Amino acid sequence: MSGIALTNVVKRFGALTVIDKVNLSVAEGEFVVFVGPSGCGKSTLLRMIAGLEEISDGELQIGGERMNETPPARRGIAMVFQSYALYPHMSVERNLGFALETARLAAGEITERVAKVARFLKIEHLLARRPAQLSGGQQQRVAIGRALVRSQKLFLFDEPLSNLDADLRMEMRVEIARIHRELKATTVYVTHDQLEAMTLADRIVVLKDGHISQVGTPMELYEHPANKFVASFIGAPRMNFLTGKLAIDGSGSRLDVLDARHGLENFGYEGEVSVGIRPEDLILGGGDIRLPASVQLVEPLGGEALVHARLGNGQSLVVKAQGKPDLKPNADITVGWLTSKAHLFGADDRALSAKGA
Amino acid sequence: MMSGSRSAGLRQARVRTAWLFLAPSLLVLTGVALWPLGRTFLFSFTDALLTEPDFYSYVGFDNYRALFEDPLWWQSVRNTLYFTVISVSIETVLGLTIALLLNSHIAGRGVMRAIILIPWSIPVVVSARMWQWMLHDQFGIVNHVLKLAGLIETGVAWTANSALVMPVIIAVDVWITTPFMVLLILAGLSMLPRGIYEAASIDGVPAWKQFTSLTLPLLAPSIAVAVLFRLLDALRMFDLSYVLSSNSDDTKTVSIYAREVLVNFQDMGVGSAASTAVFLMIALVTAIYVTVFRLNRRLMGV
Repeated sequence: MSGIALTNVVKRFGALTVIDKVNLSVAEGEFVVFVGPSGCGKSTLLRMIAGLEEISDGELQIGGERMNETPPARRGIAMVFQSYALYPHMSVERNLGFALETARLAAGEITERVAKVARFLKIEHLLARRPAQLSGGQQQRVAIGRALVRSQKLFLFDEPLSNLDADLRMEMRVEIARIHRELKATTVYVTHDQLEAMTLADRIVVLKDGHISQVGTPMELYEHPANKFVASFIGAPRMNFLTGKLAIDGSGSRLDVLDARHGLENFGYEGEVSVGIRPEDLILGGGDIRLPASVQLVEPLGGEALVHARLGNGQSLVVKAQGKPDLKPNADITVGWLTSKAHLFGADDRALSAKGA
Repeated sequence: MMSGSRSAGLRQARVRTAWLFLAPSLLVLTGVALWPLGRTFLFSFTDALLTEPDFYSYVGFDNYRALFEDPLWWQSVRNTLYFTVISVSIETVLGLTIALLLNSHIAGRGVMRAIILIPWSIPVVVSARMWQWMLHDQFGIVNHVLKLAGLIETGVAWTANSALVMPVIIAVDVWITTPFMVLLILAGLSMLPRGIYEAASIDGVPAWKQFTSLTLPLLAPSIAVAVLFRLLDALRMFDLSYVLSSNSDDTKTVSIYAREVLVNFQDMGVGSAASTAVFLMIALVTAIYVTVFRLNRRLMGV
C-alpha cells in the first residue's frame, strides 16, 4: 500500500501561502510528475509528502494512513535530491549501506543488498570511491542507489537531473524509466523540464502559484490543455498565441484572426479569444485559416527546421517545418493551420470547447 | 629543441618572478623571526649575562645541563602541559557545544553570536586583572556571592591557595578563549552541506547518529585546526599566570621560567637555553599533532 492522497493540503510560510488547498491522489505503482515554473510550489509539495516540510492544513495519507505527524523515516519513502546529498566522507559502498547499517541489518545482508543495487545501476566499479571522485552522472546513480537499497514502496525525486548535462539527462531519464518499469514503485517526480514530464509520467500534475492547474496523462495535457498556462508550458517549442475574435454565427461560431476568418462549430462564446497553435500544427502555405507573413529566421535542426515568421501586425510565430525549407529571410510566405488543431482560450484563459455534437 | 629551450627560459623567468615576490616577506621573516631565533640558539651555548651581552665565551652544553637539572624547570614543563591539555580539552568540548547551539535555529542567535565574542576581544592582561579583582579573597565579588548564597563562611583565597590556583587559571582561560573555539567551529559548521541531514532523516538515521557519523567527521578538520591554534597558544601561555599568580611555582609555565632566568637572574645563557627548549617543545608537539592528524585523516579517508 503506497498510494498517496492529498486532501485540501495547505502550506503557509508566515503570511505567505505557497500551497493552497491541493487535492490529489496518486495510485499505487503510478509515476506522477509535478511540473511547473520555479516558485510554483512543486518542490514544497514533494517535501511535504516526504515530511521535510510541515503541512499547515489539510491531510496527507500514504497507503491509506494519515501521515501529517509521522516523521520522514517512518513514512516508507526513499528520496533522491537535486544536490544528490551524498555523504562526502563515506565511500560509495558506505553511502549505499549507511541507512541499512543504522537499521542494524547484519553485515552480510548489507553487503549483499548494496552489491545487488550496485549491479542494477552499473556502479559496482565505483564502490570504493568517494563522492568527490565521481562525475555528476555517477553521483546521481549513487544517489538513486541509496534510495533503492532500502526497498521502499514510494520514491520521491526532487529535480534529480537538473545538475546534469543534456546527454546525461537523457541517459538518466531512460534509467529512471527502467527502474520504475522493473520495480513498479509509486513514484513522485518533480521537474521544471516539460520534456522529462512528458517522457516519464503516467500522469502529469501542472502546478502554478501553489495551485494545481491541470492533472492528466501527457497526451491529454498536450492535446487538451485546460488553460493557456498548461498549453504554453507543455510542448516545445512552446505554443504560438494569436489574438482573435469569436462570434456566434447562425448555428455555429465564426473566428476572426487578423484578416482571415473561418466558420467553426458552436462554442457558445462571443468576444476576444486567444488562439493557440503548436509550431508543429502550423502549415507553410496551407490550412483552413491562412495569414500572410514574412520570414525572419530559419533554424535548421537537421530533419526539421524552425521557421520564425512575422505577421502583418508585427506578431511573431514559430513554425516547425519538415525537411529543410528553402526560405530566405524577408521572403513572403503564407502560414496557416487547420481549425481542428487550434486551441481557443477565453478571457479568463480557460480553454473553450464546442457545444453539443 | 627550440620550443624546449624557450619553455625552459619561460620557466626560469617564472621562478625568478616568484622569488622576487617572495623576497620581501622572506626578508622580514629573517629579520624578526629567524635572526632572533638564531641568536637565542647561539647564546644558549654561552655564559653571557643580560647586562653585558657582548662579553661571553662558549660553554658547550653546560646551560642545557643546568636547565635539565633544575627541578623547577621540569615543574614548569609539567604545569604547562597540564594547563594545555586540560584547558584546550574543556575549551574544545565547550566550544563545540556552544557552536552547535548557535548553529541551530533558535531565537536571538545573531545577538548571541556577537555577545559571545566579548571575552575574547578583551586583552588577556585586562581580563586577568578583572578576574583577579573578582576573585579577591576579601573584596572580590565571587566570594561575596558565595557568602550570600551561604556556600562559604570566610573568603576563599582563590589565587593564593596552591591547590586552587591552577584550576582558577584554567577556568579564566576557558572564559577568555572558548569564544575563539566557538567562532572557528561555527565557521566549520556553516560549511556543512544541509542536504545530507535531510537525506539522513529520510533514511531513518537518528539525531545522535547524524551527529557522530556526519557532523563530527565532517567537522573534524575545522576542530583540528582550532585545537592546533589553541595548543600553540596554551603551550607558550605567560600573561594569565603572570598576572594572577606571578610568584607561584604551582602555575609557573615554561615561558615564565625562561623570562625569570633571563630577566630576574640576568642569566642570558640558561635563559636562552630555556627559550630554545620552549621552542623545541612547541615544535615537537605541533609536529606530532599534525602527523597524527594527517595519518588519521588518511585512515578515515576524509
